[in-house]
Amino acid sequence: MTMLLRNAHGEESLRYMRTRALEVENDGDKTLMVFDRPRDVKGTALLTFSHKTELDDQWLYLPALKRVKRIASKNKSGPFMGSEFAFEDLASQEVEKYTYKYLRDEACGDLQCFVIERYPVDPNSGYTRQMVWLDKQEYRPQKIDYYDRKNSLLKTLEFSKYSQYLDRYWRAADMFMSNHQTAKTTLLSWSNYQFRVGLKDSDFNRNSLKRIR
Amino acid sequence: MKYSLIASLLILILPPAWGQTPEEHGLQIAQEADRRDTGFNDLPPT
Repeated sequence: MTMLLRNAHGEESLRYMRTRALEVENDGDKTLMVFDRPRDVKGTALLTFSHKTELDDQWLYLPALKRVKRIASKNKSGPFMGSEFAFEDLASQEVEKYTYKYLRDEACGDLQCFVIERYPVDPNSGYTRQMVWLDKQEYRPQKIDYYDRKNSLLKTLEFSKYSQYLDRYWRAADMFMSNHQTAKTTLLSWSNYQFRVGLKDSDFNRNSLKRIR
Repeated sequence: MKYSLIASLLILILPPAWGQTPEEHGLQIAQEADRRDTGFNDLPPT
């Protein structure tokens, strides 16, 4: 997986990383992201325990400081590793985290989409609302507009290059986040998706973050 | 007469999608998207 950062002047920075995710019965997913390259971010790791109704737990390991830092709830709207993704964008998007409102049906590219609005339940969210386009055939997210606390359009996340796995699960190879207020962008490109590889709870351990290579 | 009776019964029996509020319809879409994506990975031992 790669993360391509681009600033308003077009200058780019490319990072390589690994991710893994585990579903938890009756709760949110557990996810782990680890940076491999370049050297200045190597070993940096983000561990997220998403929850359906409780606040998410997130820990960031910074190798330069050799310490695990807990991400406080009030800081979850902050940028993750200088990207246009906030910490809260990287947690699994559980249904219970939002209230919803259907707006309309409309074309989205070659597809027909539902357009819904969702409102974060967490008062510490950096967003007042998000508009989500889901295609009507497969219910895949195609685009999300994020509105900041002042209700101004802040960012847009676009999903593309979808592939289906295990005859059921759709995953986008590219997730492109553009910040309308800073003109910065971040492209997450995923490859080598693997499912049901025997991940365990112990693979998502806060105490092992320091030893992850 | 027979068809109009069946149509009347269907209207009474089937939950009318047009009777949903925008909030209910939005939640239903989010739940369906979630349902389709559930079970993608091993569940940990409980």
